[in-house]
Amino acid sequence: MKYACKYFLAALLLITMFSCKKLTEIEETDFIDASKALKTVENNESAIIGAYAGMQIEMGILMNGELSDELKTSGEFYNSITTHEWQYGANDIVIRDNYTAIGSYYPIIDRVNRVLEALPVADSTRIGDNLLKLRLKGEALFIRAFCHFEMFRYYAGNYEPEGLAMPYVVTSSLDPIARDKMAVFFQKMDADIAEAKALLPNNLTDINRATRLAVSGLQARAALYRKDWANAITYSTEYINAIPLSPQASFNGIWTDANTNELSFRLKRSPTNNPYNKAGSIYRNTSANATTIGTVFWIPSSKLWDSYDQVNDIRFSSYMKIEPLLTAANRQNRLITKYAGTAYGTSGENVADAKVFRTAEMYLIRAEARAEQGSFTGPNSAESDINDLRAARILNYTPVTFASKAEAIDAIILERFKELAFEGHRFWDLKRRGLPVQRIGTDAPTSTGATLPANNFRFVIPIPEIEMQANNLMVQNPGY
Amino acid sequence: MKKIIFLIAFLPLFLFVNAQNRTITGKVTDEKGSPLAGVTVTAGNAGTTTNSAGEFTLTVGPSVRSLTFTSVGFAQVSKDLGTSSTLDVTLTTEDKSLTEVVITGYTRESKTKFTGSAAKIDAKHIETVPVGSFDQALQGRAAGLQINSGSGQPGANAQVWIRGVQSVTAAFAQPLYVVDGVPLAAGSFQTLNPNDFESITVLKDASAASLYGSRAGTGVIVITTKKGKRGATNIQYRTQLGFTERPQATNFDIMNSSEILSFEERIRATGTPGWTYGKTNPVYAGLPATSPANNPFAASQARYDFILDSMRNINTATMDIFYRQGFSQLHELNLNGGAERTNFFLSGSYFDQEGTDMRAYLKRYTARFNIEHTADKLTVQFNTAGGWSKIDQSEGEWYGNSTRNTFQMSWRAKPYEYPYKADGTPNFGASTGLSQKTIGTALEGVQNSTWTQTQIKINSGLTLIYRFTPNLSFKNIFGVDVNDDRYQRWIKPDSYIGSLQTFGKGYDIEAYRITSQFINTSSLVYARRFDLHDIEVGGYFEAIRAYQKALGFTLFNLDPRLPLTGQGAGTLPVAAGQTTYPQTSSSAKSGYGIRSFFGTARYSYNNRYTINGTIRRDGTSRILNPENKEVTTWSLGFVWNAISEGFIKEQNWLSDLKLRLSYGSVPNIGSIPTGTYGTLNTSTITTVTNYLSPQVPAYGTNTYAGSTITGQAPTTPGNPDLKIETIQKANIGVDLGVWRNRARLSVDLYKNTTVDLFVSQPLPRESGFTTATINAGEMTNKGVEFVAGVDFIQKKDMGLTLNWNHAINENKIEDLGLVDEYVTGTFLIKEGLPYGSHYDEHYLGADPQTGRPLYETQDGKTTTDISKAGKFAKFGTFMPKHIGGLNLEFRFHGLTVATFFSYQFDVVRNNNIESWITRGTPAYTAAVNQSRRLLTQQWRQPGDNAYYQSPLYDRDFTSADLQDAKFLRFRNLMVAYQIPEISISGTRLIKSARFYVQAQNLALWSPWRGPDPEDNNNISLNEYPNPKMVVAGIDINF
Repeated sequence: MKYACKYFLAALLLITMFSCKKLTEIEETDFIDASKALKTVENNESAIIGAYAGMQIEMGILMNGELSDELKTSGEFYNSITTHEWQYGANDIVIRDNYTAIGSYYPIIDRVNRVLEALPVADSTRIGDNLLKLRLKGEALFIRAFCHFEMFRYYAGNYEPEGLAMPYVVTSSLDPIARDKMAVFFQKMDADIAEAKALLPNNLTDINRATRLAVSGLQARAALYRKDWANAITYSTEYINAIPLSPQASFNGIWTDANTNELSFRLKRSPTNNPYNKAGSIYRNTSANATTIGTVFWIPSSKLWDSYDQVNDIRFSSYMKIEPLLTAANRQNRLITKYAGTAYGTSGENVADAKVFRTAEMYLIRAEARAEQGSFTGPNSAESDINDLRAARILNYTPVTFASKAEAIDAIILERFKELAFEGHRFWDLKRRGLPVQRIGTDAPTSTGATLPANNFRFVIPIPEIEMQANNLMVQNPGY
Repeated sequence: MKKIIFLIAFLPLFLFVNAQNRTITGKVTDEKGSPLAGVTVTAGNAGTTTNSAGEFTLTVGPSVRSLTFTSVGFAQVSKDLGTSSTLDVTLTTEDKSLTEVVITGYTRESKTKFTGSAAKIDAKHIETVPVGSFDQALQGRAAGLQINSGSGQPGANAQVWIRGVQSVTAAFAQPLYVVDGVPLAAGSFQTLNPNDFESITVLKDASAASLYGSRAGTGVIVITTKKGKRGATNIQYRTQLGFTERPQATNFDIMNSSEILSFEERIRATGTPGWTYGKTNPVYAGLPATSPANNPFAASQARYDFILDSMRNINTATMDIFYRQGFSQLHELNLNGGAERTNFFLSGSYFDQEGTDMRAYLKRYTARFNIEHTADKLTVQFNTAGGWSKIDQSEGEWYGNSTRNTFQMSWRAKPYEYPYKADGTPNFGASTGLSQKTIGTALEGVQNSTWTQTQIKINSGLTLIYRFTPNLSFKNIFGVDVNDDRYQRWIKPDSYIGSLQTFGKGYDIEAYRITSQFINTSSLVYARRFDLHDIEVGGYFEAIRAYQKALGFTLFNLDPRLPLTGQGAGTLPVAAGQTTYPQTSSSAKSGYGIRSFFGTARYSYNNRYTINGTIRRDGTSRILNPENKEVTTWSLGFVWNAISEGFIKEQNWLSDLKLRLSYGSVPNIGSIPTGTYGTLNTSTITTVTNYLSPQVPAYGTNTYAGSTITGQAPTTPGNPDLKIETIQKANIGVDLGVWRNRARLSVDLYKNTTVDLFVSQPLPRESGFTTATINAGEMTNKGVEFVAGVDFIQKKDMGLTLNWNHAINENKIEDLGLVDEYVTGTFLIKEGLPYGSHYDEHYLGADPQTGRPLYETQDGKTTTDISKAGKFAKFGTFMPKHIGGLNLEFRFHGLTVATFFSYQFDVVRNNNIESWITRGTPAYTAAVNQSRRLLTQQWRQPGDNAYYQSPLYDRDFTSADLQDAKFLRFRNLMVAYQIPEISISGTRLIKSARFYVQAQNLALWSPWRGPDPEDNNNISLNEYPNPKMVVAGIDINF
């Protein structure tokens, strides 16, 4: 009896000890964590949609306008001294104006990185999932490349292989990470793009999501920034051959979202569905009713306004106008209408899709690349590209000829100013070309806010202080 | 494999040799000659215990010369063996200091060998105290134990801190409670009868608590329950009747009707009767003198005068409406007794207490059965408590900051509101400035709703002890603690409040939650004495598994014919174009496990020097990262019992002198951030803990206009590197006793350093997130604790004893990792400051010229613009630096009078109500009754040196609302009379009885304005104040 008791107790002890391994492995079963969130291909598609939901090029549109010579204060509301008059530093770039490309693009990169990690083992539960899986991978890679390139435009100087780009993040991690050199950065980006291109749909059925031609667009744009003229020509040509310039008659419809001419990829916006839906609100507040127009913040700079042939250039009438209601209300009467959306006081006012890549930009990329390669006049030259583009935009257009490369380049930059106004390119173009920001006459808010000298350090946006604190491997941009 | 090695390590303990032998028998008695059972008799490796007749039989080897007799409470005796085979021994009671044991739960240590810091609270201090949750009775009872009650709700638990806040994320983590070796769910004590408790021990330092491992970071409260005593069965009946009353403190000095009406007029508060009907209102002059006879209610000067005159004389006593005198009663029957091998304790009780809130109550039934049976070497204990309780909570606590909060309204409501209709029912409905119906509406709400919690609780432990030899014993405790809670929030469908709910017919939210915890602790302890050397070594294995499960639903459109039920609830309308069907019910479950190995070793030399070490390794599912899952706790302690030294023994005034040292490292499992399953429709009344969500990225949905598919994205980064916070605890203690311990003093100095402190850190943006709570900080708590006691009179028929404890704790945030400071809630977490430092604009009074509010700027100047004012953290913290308690007890023959005071000081809290009633602006005056101080201290004209700004300006929430919340409470008064045996013609009716009158929270002294300076957090916002309670009772022993 005694022994039985001893053995019983010893056995009890052993059983409890060995049965307890699993005590340290109890999981939360009722909770969607990362492992469950991306279990199936369907879940991963949901996460890709979640990544698109975070993408907003509108911030770049606002920023390029405020920092460059595209915009002018309306006099009705102005609190952008820090940015418009180039007084920003590492501390207030976040606090005051919330220009945190770093804070808006890296979360999207994190979303797709998680998909890229989960996708290989995701379960296909529906017919077609195996194919969808490939497309999703393509989309994830494209989004990753696109977002990184956007940050390159904000935070990096002009291309030189040893210069610092931003960290090209390919895994989901909370750890500090160092900036990649530009050569390495683009090497990683090229790899993503190349793989994405093969996986994405080679059609324009759904341009709300990435397409193969959007990749061509990104490749052309990135090549331009890298001064890789040959590739810029190759990829822009790829794009141009697939999607022609819009006929004049339907050009305005691009901006009212009536058609999708020239587009390979857009970020779809609706009045209710997205926090970044109101591109038009960059320039003026939504209106209380059909006649009381909301506060106007920004109007086109006179430099831009005056650069158009206001009678024949259809871009002028599509991008801006004189509003009689404002005249009647004794307010300044110029308005930017590029993203005006539906009528004043309606829910769709200021709502407009974000056009990410369009054919016109490809023409301008190719023209610049061709000019840089010495081909500034004759057929298949900068000249022919500029003439083709202008012919599509200007009534009764007379073609021009360029006498020199320099003349061609000047014309191309001016044409970019006019064609791509309010599309988030101007400030980067001036930086890229080593040009100053020059505001003329009343465009300048103050005398000190008239000129940002060429190659000034403020062409490169500072890394926010909070990031400098959190990431001990981060290097601040020069001058800050 | 590790486990096997562990077992093998202890195997040598089994290996002992039985040599040639002789058998000794004898009897052990006490000084009076009564047999002593359970005395340990040892000789070398051999040993036994005496039976109930005090007799023993022991076979010893030939080399054995003497036998040693030990028993708790008696001096140890060694007797030489002659040639005789019988040996009778008399044991004498040991000196008080020597007999005292410290119960740490896993071990019982003689106080002279205890290296740690622990405070024992005598059960008599909580027995018969009329509080529903026993922790409420502990305030001031032990040095370093801070008990703050956040609610006067009967059955509500208190907030308990041992030696201060030791974490930022887990600032409000509760200590571990253990009853007879079985953990007790913290914060839920309303279904326990504290009269069953034998002792409560608070384990404060590493040496005392480290055996509990990662659960002991914030300290441990160890409770033992009553055991049966051998001998005649004692039957005790207790009864107690009394009442609860609202606190008397009314130093808010709010205006009466006449004053507030004049004030409204003076500051021209729009929409108020004072201004609307006042003579200085320009409208007044334009009115006709009297109303026409055919329209007597038409506006006229006479009519306005009449209205104001009526209102001036209303003066509703709001507090009398919302508070009541509650009835409290307790009935209990308990039996205890035992025979040779078996003893038992059995109790059953009924407690019923009405709160001072008009609806609040607690009703509970409990039963406890403790039985212990010894069969030869095996002892079995089975301790089980079961109970049922029901709480109805106040409407005020349901709402928080709302005009429906009766605690708020008791100060806030305008006294000129008459809250009843002609028939005496509440005058409810939409309230306007001129026709206030806030009191009536709140009252109607209270009358037509419930918020109940019904709990079934089981706390049960089965203990098996097998003594292989007198030196080696195996013990296994299997315990279970279950709380089964049903919650109901019901609003009467055909009431006014019911009509305001979704679908207009009340609602019925019901939820059910079961939380349970299982524990199994196995141990092997070897204890042996060789001459002057005393060693004890123990090896332990423990497994803990906890579960939570809750489910609940909300029903609308109730049937007005049926009370307190969802039965008969009607259908719900479908909204036009509705494409999804909303859920109104949900459920969730979760759980965790801890697997632990631990060991303890103690060595004492001649009862003079003791060294003690413990080490414990916990593996837990609550940490996801496999590398951090295993958590180590360790401690080392040393005690020098100097009184046993020869050179000290010579004198006769010093009776106790000990020096205790300990150091250890105790992780705090309570610090690991947890989430809750938030989708419960009923989450307002119960929650389920999600133990892992903060450690892993969680996903939320989003939408993209370019797709019909719902998007998803990670919403939190998780913390894959999460570690546990660890508290490094150092303690030095000195115990001193003089004149046969008539005067006693213990002083403990400690320093607790929390490392790997969870703090909010900025994340690299490349991670996709902005901040995370990660292990990057450090916090210290340094303090000193005094416990002093003096027996001024110590005679057979008379005694007078004073016991005083005082603790000073200084908290400091030492390191916050990458940042220097961040704001959380209304306070600032900053390096160099204590936790909970208020962070506010510094208000300096009214500007004498303009009456605008004046504030200090960051650079020491003044400004009248709050946006230019600096924010400062120099106003103190809501955690008191000093806490203590004072107990004076007088005994004369059968009469005992005990008074107990508790206090806290060096504490500042945010007084939100005070802020509202002293704002003095038209907007605040229209909504909230104002303080009389505004009549004399508000700025009125240039040159006034006034504290309160002109009514034209608001000063906002500032340092003006921070108040000293120190207090001295007359916590308890006990007057008891011991009635001796009563016999009638030789027949004993009762053995003895005790009649007592007891009052809790009898008086309060505090500069704090408001009903109760005491709270469980930093801001006072309409809480249920602690009640005063007076009860009379009798305990009769049959």
